[in-house]
Parts: sequence; C-alpha cells; structure tokens
Amino acid sequence: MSESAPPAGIAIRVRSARGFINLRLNPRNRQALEAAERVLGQQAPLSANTFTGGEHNLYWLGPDEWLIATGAQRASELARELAEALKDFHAAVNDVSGGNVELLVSGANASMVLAKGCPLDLHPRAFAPGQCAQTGLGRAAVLLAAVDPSTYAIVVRRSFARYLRRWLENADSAGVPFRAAGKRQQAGYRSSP
Amino acid sequence: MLLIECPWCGPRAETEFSYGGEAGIFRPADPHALSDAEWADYLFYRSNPRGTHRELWNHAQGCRRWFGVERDTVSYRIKRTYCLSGASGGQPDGSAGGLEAGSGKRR
Amino acid sequence: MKHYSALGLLRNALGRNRRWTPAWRSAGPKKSYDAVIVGGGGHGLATAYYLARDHGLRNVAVLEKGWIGGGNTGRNTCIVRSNYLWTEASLLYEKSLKLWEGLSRDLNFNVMFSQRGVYNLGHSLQDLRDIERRVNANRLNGIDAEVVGPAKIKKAIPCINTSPGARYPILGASLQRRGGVARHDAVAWGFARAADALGVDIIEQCEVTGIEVRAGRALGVATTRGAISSERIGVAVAGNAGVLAKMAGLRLPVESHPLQAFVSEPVRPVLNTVVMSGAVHGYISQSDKGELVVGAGIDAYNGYGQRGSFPVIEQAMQAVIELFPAFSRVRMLRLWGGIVDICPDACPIVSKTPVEGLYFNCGWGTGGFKATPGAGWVFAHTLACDRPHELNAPFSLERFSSGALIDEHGAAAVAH
Ligand SMILES: Cc1cc2nc3c(=O)[nH]c(=O)nc-3n(C[C@H](O)[C@H](O)[C@H](O)COP(=O)(O)OP(=O)(O)OC[C@H]3O[C@@H](n4cnc5c(N)ncnc54)[C@H](O)[C@@H]3O)c2cc1C
Ligand SMILES: [Zn+2]
Repeated sequence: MSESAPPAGIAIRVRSARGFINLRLNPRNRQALEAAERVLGQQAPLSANTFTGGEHNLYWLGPDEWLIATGAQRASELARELAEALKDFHAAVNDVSGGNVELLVSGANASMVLAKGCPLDLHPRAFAPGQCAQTGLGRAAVLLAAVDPSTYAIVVRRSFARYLRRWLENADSAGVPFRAAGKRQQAGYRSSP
Repeated sequence: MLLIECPWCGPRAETEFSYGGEAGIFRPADPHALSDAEWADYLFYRSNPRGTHRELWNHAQGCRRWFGVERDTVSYRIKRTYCLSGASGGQPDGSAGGLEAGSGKRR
Repeated sequence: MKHYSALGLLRNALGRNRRWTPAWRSAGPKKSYDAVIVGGGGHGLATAYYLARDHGLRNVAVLEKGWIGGGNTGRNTCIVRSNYLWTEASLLYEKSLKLWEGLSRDLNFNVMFSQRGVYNLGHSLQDLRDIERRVNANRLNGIDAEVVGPAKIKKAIPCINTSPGARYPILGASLQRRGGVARHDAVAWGFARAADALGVDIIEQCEVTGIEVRAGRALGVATTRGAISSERIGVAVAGNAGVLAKMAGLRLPVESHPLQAFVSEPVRPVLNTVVMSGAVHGYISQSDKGELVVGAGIDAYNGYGQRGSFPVIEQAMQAVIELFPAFSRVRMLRLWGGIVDICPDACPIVSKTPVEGLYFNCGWGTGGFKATPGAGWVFAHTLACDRPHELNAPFSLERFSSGALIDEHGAAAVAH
C-alpha cells in the first residue's frame, strides 16, 4: 500500500437541463448536410468517432447518424427547425431528450476508473479529447466522449443512469489505490486486505 | 475475446458486436417459384465450414452498421472485415456507396 | 468380458489390483464390416452396442479419430432429464431416461446415474406459465413432473437466493425427480466395454477422411488407417457432422458452435440436485468429488475450436452468483469447450439420408448427453432396419422441407 498514493477520486456530475436530438442523413447528399449545418450553425463531424463543440455538441454515431446535445430549452425548437429544413430530403430528426442523461466524469484518474468496465483503450494516444465512441460501460451501452484529458462526458439511457452512476461510484471506491501516471496499472484489481 | 475491426470504428471488443450468421444468403426474389427443398435450403441450410467463413456482424453497441467478416472457424483468426455494398453514408475510405449509389440495393 | 462384481473388486484388491485386464480390446481395422459407426462418443458406442445386442449385427466397427469419449461426451455437464415440451421430443428423451434407469445393470458398469432431481427455474410470470404448461404436457405423456414454489425450492436448496428482491427473483420451478446426472466418462467406457464383449471393434486414432459414394450408395470410408468397406455407415460425430456430410456430398441444417463448461475447486456437499435457469442462463450441479459443475451458453458465432469466448464465461459466472451469492467465493479450477451441432429447431436429426446406406445422428446441440442410450437405441434400429423407429421418425431430415419442425427452443430455454 505504501508505495501508492490514496485514490484521488473522481467527480461524477449529472449535466442537468440537457436536450438531445438524433439526426440521420446521408452526408454524401451535400445539400441535405448543408441544410442541417445551416440550422445548427456548425459543421457535423464526418470522421468516425469524433465530436465537435460549439453552441451544440455534435457526436458522430455512425456514417449517417449524429447525436446533437444541447440545452434542454433549445432542443425541441432546434428539432423543429431541423425537420423543417430537411423536409425535402431523405433524413430523420428525432427529439430524444426524454430518453437520455449526460454524466460528466472528471478527475486525474477518470480514465482508469472507466477502464474497469470499458473495453476501449482509453489511453490519450488512442482516445484523445475530441474523440467519442459508443461502447459498453459496466453493463450499460453508452456514448463516451473525451472532453479534456481528465474529463469524460457519458450519454446513457435514462433508465440506466442510476445504475451507471452507482457503478462509477463503486468503481471509484472499491478499486485500486491508483499509482502515479506512467506506471502500468492493472484495472479492476482489488487490494482489500 | 475476439477483437473485431469495425470498418468504421476500428478494432473493438467482441462484446460490442452481435453475430448475424453466414453472409451472402439472399431471400429468393420469388419464393413461390421454389420447390420445398429449395426453400428449406434458403431457410435452414448453411455452409458451416471448418475453415474460412464469410459472416455478418453488427456493431450493435457502436455505430450499428452491418459489415462482413472473413474468419477462420478453427483458429478464430479474422482475415479481413469489409463493408457491404450499398452501405449508407459511403465507405470509410470515402469511396462510393450510400443512398444514391446503392439505393437500388437498399430496396 | 470379465464380469465386474463386488466379489471381483475384493479379489482384485487383495491381489493388489495387478490382475485387472483392459475393459475393451484395442482392435485394428478389418477390411470390411457389416456396419461402420463414425464417432466414438457415447452416441456412436451406444449405437454399436444396441446393433450387436438387439439386432444381431456383430461385425461392426466404431471409428474414432481421437480417443473414445474425448468429444462432447467427455465435455458436458451430465444433466439427464426428459421433461421436454413436445410429445415427439419427450417420448424420445423418456425412452432414453428409461434406459438410463437400467443402464449400469445392462452394461455391468457403474455409470453413476444419480436421480437427484432437476429444477428448471422460472423468474417471471411467463416463465411460470411455460413451466405449468410443460409440466402438464409431461404428465400427459406419462413423465414425472411437478411445479414447485419458492418456499419448497428454498427448503430443498438452502443456499439458493429466493429473495424477492433479486434481480431475477425465483418464482417457481419445474421439478423432475427422476432427472439427475451421470458420469460422462463411465458412459463411454461402459458402452465400449459392453459392445466390445459382443464383438464390436472399437478403433481409436482412426479418422474418417472420406466417404465413398457410388450411384447414390455408400460403399465405405477412407480413414487414416486405410480404406474400410461397408454398405451401412452411421455417422455420430456431433459438432463435426457438417464436415462428414460434405464428404458424402450432402448438406445438413446444422451449425457448429463452441459451448463451454467449468468446474470449481472441490467444496463440501452443498448442492444435492441440479439447478437450471434459462433467464440467467446457467446450470449447475455438484459432482461426487465436490466440484461445482457449471454450464454456460453457446458462443453466438460458428466455431470448431474446442474453446469458447471470455464474455460467455463471465456471463455464466454472473448467472451462478445471481442464484447462489455464496458461490462468489468459490474458485474455478478448469474450463473447456466442446463443439455442439445446433439445429434450427433445437431438435436432433436421427435419419436416413439421400445417400443409401448412409445415416446421420446429429443436431443434438447442447443437450444430447441425456439422450445417449436412447439415441443409440433408435439409431441402431434405423441402421439395422433401414427405416426409423417410430420414436425417431419425426426427427428426419425431411422435416426441414416438409415444415414439420419440432420447436423445442421454448421448453429447453437454456443449454443443457
Ligand atoms: C460444455 C457442454 C455441456 C453439455 N451439457 C450437457 C448436459 O448437461 N446434458 C446433456 O444432455 N447434453 C449436454 N451437452 C451435449 C452433449 O455433450 C452432446 O450432445 C453429446 O455428448 C453428443 O454425443 P456424441 O456421441 O454424439 O458426440 P461426441 O461425444 O462429440 O462424439 C463424437 C466423436 O466423433 C469423433 N469424430 C469427429 N470427426 C471424426 C472423424 N472424421 N472420424 C472419426 N471420428 C470423428 C470425435 O472425436 C468425437 O469423439 C453438453 C455439451 C457441451 C459441449
Ligand atoms: Zn462501428
């Protein structure tokens, strides 16, 4: 025990008053893409597993699918505007605000806590700020995004949110006293006496 | 644990995917024109090879795309993964595909 | 065949166990046989035994590419029961269960068949309805079955978690008291010894590499130990059925998947029955040595590697701990996989084929150990008479084109 510092702990926070829109269109249809981007006032990320910030966060979900995270107040109005702008295109706009919750997990050890239940390589070399991924965390399906080197945003189904929060708290407390960064870390190892 | 290379998302853990069985099985255009044996063949008979198998996987917990995988059923080594023709949004390498190009195939 | 008896055991013990002789001859292949059985698992050996005993066919060879019982027969979790839903299935499995009940005596070999009861748990209202339906169907077919509630379950299995707050609360179960477990190796050895005594050649290290078919007739097999001619060939190779079918130019509606099982370190007696749950997807019993024997689900993907994937192990462990929280402290000792041959309707194929003189016994998937004597018995009948017994007639290859499937998925709900 002595060689390692006590766990620094992570902060888990629910981002309140968030709204979410699921947008589907084929980006090869430039006109449709531009119509959507005009409404959004920012570009939709076209490279896989990245997101862009701005007034809204636009997460790449698939080659023809994005999640728009924005203020709860703004979401329904934005969804209407998008639907209107895309009404002549093969596209789908769905307000999914009711179904999702966004958590923010931060702290120097955040990636290590997440690694206990996530199959992704979360090393900043492989998962740098600006990248996002849909993956599994604990037993939940999540959208995970690296916001900055010590902060992750997690969008999860509302019905899984309470479970996921508990899972994160448990992962944070039941685990290893984390070693200083740079040393090899075995995620999930229990050091209880 | 298989590490499966999603053509879009790169290598991901097996737990993120769901398996879709043998690739290249197409619903016959006119089922009524088939004999019972031919219909049974379409419904129930698969090649089940000991060796290279072409199969479908879905990146269910990721980008939710279906794609093809060539895998050895004895060593479980994955030889390659590939996009299905007509995939929406084009191919990851930017080549053709997508609704315009593949709209006929997408029904 | 030397008769095994308590007296013989005593005599050999006094003779320092130096006078035991091999239980079966190690036979070399002859040029031709009246019948050749491919696959020296329980099914192949039982087929040879019943061919010799009941049908007078004694010039028979069992060809096994490895060692007998080295396939799924030696890899399964040994659960024996007959409480299937559909009449066709339950009658076949019940025939088998009846044979199990006299098997040790028939074979003069202790197969350690232990009728300790099998519980199939229900965790939802729908589960319970299905259980009641199946129990009623079983009774109509003359098969013992009862519905038990959580209190009775708890009384019989004190370490099970019946708390209503469980993630998958246990609301009830079906119980077949005549079900239980048997010792898998003993089944292979017992059938081998008894078949050998009747003149059957059991030929290990002999892989079949080709099937000779001319003008729609099977004429023999090519093996790693030379060609063997026979106009009656029965194939019982479980997960490799598709490979053998291809040798004869046939296709089968089966796909091969890995299925895993584990045993724990031995612990004191804690579980004296068999518990299965489709909802959490696991099944567990305790061996006479004290090991907890746990079965998992199949890997979703096709595979011929006799090993399975890690996520499935994790899932099975979660299932066990959900049912028996105390077992979270038990260490697992060994794990392994077998290749199971899955049929679209989860029922076996015991059938003639379009090739005359060629018969297949396959598609037992995750549940054919319990059928070992019964499958051998009907398959022997099919080979000897060139037509199925009425018990296996519904399990023909034709059912896939006629549409008369026997959909047992619902009843089994879990690999077993
Ligand atoms: C992990 C696991 C758990 C299971 N649990 C249960 C259970 O609890 N209850 C239950 O009823 N069933 C269970 N089963 C299913 C059961 O084990 C099988 O259905 C049954 O044992 C099949 O017997 P078999 O004799 O047909 O096959 P096997 O015992 O597999 O025998 C086939 C033999 O054919 C041989 N062979 C293959 N190819 C060739 C060739 N080319 N030439 C010569 N020989 C060849 C193989 O080496 C093998 O020995 C389980 C299976 C597994 C894998
Ligand atoms: Zn993907």
